[in-house]
Order: sequence, then C-alpha cells, then structure tokens
Amino acid sequence: MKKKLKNILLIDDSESDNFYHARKIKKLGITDNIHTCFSGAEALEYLSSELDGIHPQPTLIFLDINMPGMNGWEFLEEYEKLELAKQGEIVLTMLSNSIDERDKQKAHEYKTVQGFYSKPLSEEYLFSILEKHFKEYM
Amino acid sequence: MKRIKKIGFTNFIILISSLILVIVLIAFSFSRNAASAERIAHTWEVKNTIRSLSSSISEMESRKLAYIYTSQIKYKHAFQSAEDEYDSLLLALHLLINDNQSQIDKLQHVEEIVNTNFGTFNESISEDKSQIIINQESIDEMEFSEIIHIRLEEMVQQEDLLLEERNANYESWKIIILISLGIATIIVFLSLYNLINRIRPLLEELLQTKENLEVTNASLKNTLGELNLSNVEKEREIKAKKKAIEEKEKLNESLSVKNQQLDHFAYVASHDLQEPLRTVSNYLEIFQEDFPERVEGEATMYFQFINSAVERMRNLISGLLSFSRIGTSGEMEQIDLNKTIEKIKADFSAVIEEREILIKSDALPTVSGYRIELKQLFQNLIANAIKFSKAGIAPHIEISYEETDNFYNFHIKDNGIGIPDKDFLKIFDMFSRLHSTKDFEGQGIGLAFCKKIVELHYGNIWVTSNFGVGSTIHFTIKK
Repeated sequence: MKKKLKNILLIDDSESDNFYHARKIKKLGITDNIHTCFSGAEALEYLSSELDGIHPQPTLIFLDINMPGMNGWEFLEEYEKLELAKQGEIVLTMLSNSIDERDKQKAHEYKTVQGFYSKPLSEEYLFSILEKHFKEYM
Repeated sequence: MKRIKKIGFTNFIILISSLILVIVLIAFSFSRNAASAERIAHTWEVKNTIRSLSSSISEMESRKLAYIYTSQIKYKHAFQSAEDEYDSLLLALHLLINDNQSQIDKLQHVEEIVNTNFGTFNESISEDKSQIIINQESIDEMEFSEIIHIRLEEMVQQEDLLLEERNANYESWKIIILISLGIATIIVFLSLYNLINRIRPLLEELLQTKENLEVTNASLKNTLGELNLSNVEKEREIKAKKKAIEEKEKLNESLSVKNQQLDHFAYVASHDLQEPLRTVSNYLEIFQEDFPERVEGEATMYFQFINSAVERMRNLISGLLSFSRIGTSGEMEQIDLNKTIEKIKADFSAVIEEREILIKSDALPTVSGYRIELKQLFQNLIANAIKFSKAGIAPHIEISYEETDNFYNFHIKDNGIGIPDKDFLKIFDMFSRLHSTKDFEGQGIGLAFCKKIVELHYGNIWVTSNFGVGSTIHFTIKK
C-alpha cells in the first residue's frame, strides 16, 4: 500500500482552475488533504495558522503567478521570509498560464521553487513530481 | 606671345637698321663736310700764299730797281730779305700744291722766270759791275712783272676754279646727306608707324582681354555669390534633413516603443485569452468524464466540434503568444547556419527518411542573429517545403546564398505545389492560409513568423514561384 502525501496547497485566484486541479489530484489518489487559497495573502495566512500548535506545512504547493492583489512573485518574497516551521514541507511548484521564458528564468531565482509548469495540471506532470521528490509515495 | 615676338622682331630689325643707316649717314656727312671744308680752307691758303708770293716778287723787283738806280747798300739788303721771304713762300707753296700737277708746272714756270730775272742781278750784286746789263734788262723789267703777275693770276684763277668746284662738291654732298637723312627719318617713322600699327591690334586685343577678364571676374564674383547663396540654402536643406532624420529617429523610437507595446498587448491578450479557453476545455473534459451517458448520438459530434474548435483556438492563441515573443529569447550572437541546418535535419530525420526528402545546402555563412529565431526561420521554411510538396513526389529542397556588401541573401527552393502570383504577398500575413485545413493543416502563422524573424534581422523576405512547379523563398539578413 503506497503512502499518501500529507496535504497539498493550491494557490490560485481561479475557482475553476482550483476545482479542476483538485479533481485531478484526487483522481490520482495521492493525497486526502487538499487545501485551496484564492490569493497569496490568504495562503500566507493559512500557512501561519495553527491547529493544535502545529502549522499546516503542506507537502506540496502549486502556485499561480497571475493573481490580483498579491501575485505569485510577491507571495514568494513573503514566503521565503517565513520561519521554516511555517513553510511547506518540501516542494513549491509554480503553475502558470505563462509560457514566457523570462518567467521561467525568474522562477529559478527563488531557491524554494522546485518546478515551473504550464497549466493545466496533467497526470504526467503529477507523476513526474512524485518520481522526482516523493519516490516512497509511489 | 608668338605673334608679338614675330611682329616685334621684324619691326625691330627694320627700326634698328634704319637707325644704323641714319647714324652712318650722319657720320659720313660729317666726315665729308669736314673734308670739303678742309679742302676749301686749303684752296684759300694756296690763294693767299700766291698773293703773298706775288707781292714778295714785286718787292724784290722794286728793291732791285731801287738798288740799281741808287746803288745804296740798304736796298741791296732789303732785296735780299725780300728774296728770303720769297724763298720761304715758294717752299710753302710747293708744299701746298704738291697734289696739283698743273699748278706745280705753272709755279715752276714762274720760278724759272724769277730765277732768270733775278739771277743776273744777284751775280751783279756780288761783282758790283752791272750797269749795262741793268740798263739792257730794264726794258724787260716791265715785261717780266707782267708775265709773273699773269702767271700768278692764272694760278689764282685755277685755285678759284678749284674752290668753286669744291664748293659745288660740298653743296652736292650736303644735299645728298640731307636727302639720305630725310629718307632714313621716313624709314624710321614708317617702321615705327608699322610697329605701332601692328602692336595696336595686340594692344586692343589685350584691352579686350582685360575687359573680358573683368567681365569674367564679375561673373565669377556673381557665381561665387550664388554659390554662397546656394551653400546657405544647402546648409538649410541639410539642417532640415537633419531635423527630418531626427524626427524620423524619434518616430522610429516611438514606433519601436509602440511595437513593444503591441507585442506586450499580444502577449497579455493571448495569455489572458488562454485562461478562459483552458477552463472551457477543462470542463468539457470533466463533463465527458462525469456524464458519459449524456454524450451520445449527435451530442458526441457536437462535442467533437467544440473540442476541435477549442484546440484550434488554443493553437492560434499560443501562436500569437509566440509571435509576440519573437526577439525576446536572448541576445544576438554569432551563429553557424550550417549547424542550424544540421539540427533541423536531425529534428526532421524521421520524416526525411520516410519521404526520401533531399535537402541540399551550400556551405552557409556564420551570421550574427538570434539563435532560437533563426533556427525557427529555417525550420519553418523547410517544414513548409515539406508540407506543401506534391503527392507522390519526393521533396527536393535547395538552400543557397550569396553575399552583398551589407546582406546575406538566402534562397530556399523547393519542387512543391507552388504559389499563384496573386498570393505572393498574402502568404506572409498573420493567420493567412491558402488551403483548407482538410488539405493542409496549419494556423497560417509560419510565414508570418518568418517575416517577423527576418525583419528582426533587418532583412526582407519575398517569394518567387512557378505555380505547379515549385517555389523559392528569398530572404536577406543584414551582416
């Protein structure tokens, strides 16, 4: 019996995208716990929240770039300032509409960013993430 | 100058020779005159001496007679001194007339007579006994005087004749000299006149030339003024041109800013268009997954149409997005196009093998450009050549180039279906397609891409084609 990821955080202002991505993840059955935030600010709030003295610390985060208010980049700036206890357990992946090479380059400048992928999230990409970072969950 | 020399030379010779003639004539006349005057003076001297001789003879005669009649010794001494004078005069006369034989003869005759007359007297003086002889001879005395005087007079007359002749001679010489002088003067004046006459046209010519020169100078000054004016105008023109260039540069700048804005707009638009489109396609997928029982019969066909439309739209939008991204991938660098072609061939190796495609390529240059874009350019053109080939015929593609001062000119020739003349320009437009999707797939962006890439390299792209035989795409890339 394969292990499941503790929790996955989706940060995207698009409700339909969040719904679609959550569905894909669920269908693959790699986690039972998917949390969605509709803005960077909301996500930061969520990461700082405590439940029984423990921060959520998602195992995997998917971050959209284009968002009203705090966009993906601004979120990253703030995220990297957080205490380690509040940061995600491991991987933060950009998930964006952008196909711009410059966005890709920029994403690599953040050491917390582990990947950059164009929407929509596909099974193949999810598998490649698992293969790369969560071998024991397969 | 030659003419002046020629005229001057002959006239100078004439003038100088006439002057020399005048001088010679004057010198000659002077010498002639002097000679004539000398001879006249000589004649006068001869005449005077003859007269003196005559008077000395008369004195001798009178002293002789006085002595004879008085026998006083003082007369004898007086006679002797008169005789001495006679002797000296005679000697002088001899010297004076030694060039005239007839006068010499006459003088000798006179001398003989005198000697005969006074010879006996002299003897008697010395002997002192001359009474009778004297008496006898006294009759002859008168005759003797007569003869002597006549002879001497004859001599004087001859001298007078001579004088007259010499005077005439002198006069004729004077006339000849005067005439010669006159002629020489006339010659001098004529040659001077001639010289002046000949020089005058030259002078006039010189004056004319001077005037002409002045006129030319004036016109030159005018021209200079005009030139200055036109210079000023030119400068103004240049300034205006500079201004125009500046304005053009400004326009270019604003145009490139606008282009950037347009690219950005295309980017943002296509980027933002993608999102709702993706949502549509995502939920079409979910719908078909969640409600398979609803997607049946005609609904399946509807869903197929919707799906293919969504797919097409996605392609169009991503094409537009890539189009707006051309030239933003990096910096210009040196690119060996041979390597680029090799890479493309490698990418196409499957289709090349399958369809037995022949790609012939010159040894291509290394150009300065954008790596990704240039590869895309050649790739698009080769892909088009393959795509629009004739059914059942193996595509042949030839890549060639030549160099001009500022550009590399490339030609990509195929043996495909060709393009009608009327569409030569249209094919480079965005989303422009000549064929239906049924015959040839595509979004109509390949050549628009190529055009943008070529323009990014400051070049030009165009096509020549023989419809049904093949096409050649030509493009230039600035060095």
